[in-house]
Formats: sequence, structure tokens, C-alpha cells
Amino acid sequence: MNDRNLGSLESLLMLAVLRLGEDAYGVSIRHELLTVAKKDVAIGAIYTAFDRLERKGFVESWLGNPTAVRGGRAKRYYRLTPGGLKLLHETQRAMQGLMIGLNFAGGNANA
Amino acid sequence: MPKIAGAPKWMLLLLWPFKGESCYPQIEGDLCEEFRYQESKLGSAAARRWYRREVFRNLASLTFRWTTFAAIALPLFCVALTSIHLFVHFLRFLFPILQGLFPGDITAQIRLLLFLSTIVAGLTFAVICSILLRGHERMIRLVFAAGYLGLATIHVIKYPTSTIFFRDPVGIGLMEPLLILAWIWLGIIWIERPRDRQPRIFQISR
Repeated sequence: MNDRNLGSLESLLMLAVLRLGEDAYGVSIRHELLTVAKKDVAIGAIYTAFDRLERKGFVESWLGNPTAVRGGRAKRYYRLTPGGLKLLHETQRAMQGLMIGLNFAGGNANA
Repeated sequence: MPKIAGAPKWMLLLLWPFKGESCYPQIEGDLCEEFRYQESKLGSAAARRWYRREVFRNLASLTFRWTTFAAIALPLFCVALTSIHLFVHFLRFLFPILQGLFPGDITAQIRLLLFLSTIVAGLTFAVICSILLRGHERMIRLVFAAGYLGLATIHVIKYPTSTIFFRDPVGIGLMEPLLILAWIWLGIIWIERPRDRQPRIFQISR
């Protein structure tokens, strides 16, 4: 896959990170995907996708403090880099452009 | 680390091959945090069911990645390499050199040659696999163990009356796969060590 292209899960994760702001970490991102996007994604899949995004330079992460509720494990927080934000914006603009004139009524997309 | 009462933490043994990956502590922490949430919402039994299901889902999502496939394929290739004639030719090439260095008892020379070859092969495989697939060392160790124990088992089945030491000067005996495996494990554990020594934070906040 081209480094400038985003997969569907990658796009959803970046949007979830953007929505959550300072509180974007594994559990909160998973809940956001489940409640807002109705996608039940395994935690492992989320971190694999984040690993990919981090290598592409679209997100950055840092470790928080370990907490008792997590069995002494630290949270890994994520945020978008300026490059990631720009790419998300471009992707959104491209999708909106392609959607103009489409009619999704009745389950079929017709121009 | 505090115990999570009720969570079937033994299920995490299934994720053992992925324990060296950078995301593993977060996966474990997230499972723990979500288990507590599910427990307060659905009760203990449902939360345990949820935990077991999530461990299997994570196992699937961590397994079906090209890096995991590579961590399985590369060790299997190495095992295959030592079980075919290529490796035997390598031993034949080494033998005259060793004879020149240690003249004398030929059986001792052969055993020394085979022993040295296991060190060379084991440590070479350990270094190559660990460098190429950083973070997947446990999976690599697991696949090597399965491969070489499989070879040893085949040897026992094929030659039940054979000596437990090397079968013949240039063939693959029972001890050879086991020795290569031992060197691989030692090599990989040695390579892994510096990262495991990173300071762990035991302070629990909140």
C-alpha cells in the first residue's frame, strides 16, 4: 500500500484519535469505534494499525503512568502529527468530492 | 503487579509468542482495564467470557500479519536448511580443516566437528532471525523449538535403536537438532536481554 494512502481502519483510528483529543489511548479508542462507528475491533488490530501509522509518520505516541486498574501497565496515548492531520483532511476532501451527486437511498448508490 | 481478581489471566499464555512486541504491555493493560469495566457492567462470569473471547480475537489479529508469517517461515526455512544435504556438505568442508588442527582420534574429531557446527548454525540463525524480525523473538524461538523437536522425533522414529549421540559423521543425528536448538535459544535470549533490562515502572498511580 502506498504510504500516502489510508486504509479504512487507519482512517477510522485517526478520526477517533482526533475526536478523543488528549484521552486517545487503546481502550477509549476501541470504545469510540464501537459506540460511534459501530465497529468492534480487536485491541491487537488497533495497535497493529497504529504501529503502521506511526512508521508512516501520521501519528505519534507516548506512555502515560501505569495504573492499578490496568494491572500496573501504562497507557499509550496517541495524537496526530501535522502530516497525519493534513492527510486526513485530504482524504476527507477527496471522499466528499467523490460523494457529490451520489444517492445512497435504498441501499444502492446511484448518480 | 497487582492481581486482577477473577480474570482468567492464564489465557494470556496464548499470547506468549507476542510478548516481546512493543504493543504487548498495552494489550495486556487494555484487557485488564476493559475486564474491570465489563465486570462492573455484566458481572463476573460474563466478564470472564468476554476476556477469553478477546484473547482469542487478539491472538487471531496478531497472528494474521505478514511479520508473524515471516517469523514462522524464516525459522522453518533454517530448520529445513540444516536437514538437507547443503548442511552436510558444509560439514564435509569443515572436516579436513579440523583434522589439520586436531590430529588424532577420528571419532573425537567428528564429534567435535558436529558440536562446533551446531554452535555456528545455532548462533548464526539466532542472530539473523533476531535482527530481521525484531520483537518477534519469542515466536522465532517457538517455531525453532517445534521444528527441531520435530526433526529429533523423526530421528527417534526412523532409527529407534541408534545411539542418542550423533548418528554418523555427516548425517543428522538426534543430538544435533537439540544442540542447534539450544544454541538458538541461548543466542536469541542473549540478544533480547538488553531490551528486557529497560527499567520497569512499578509505581502505581491512581
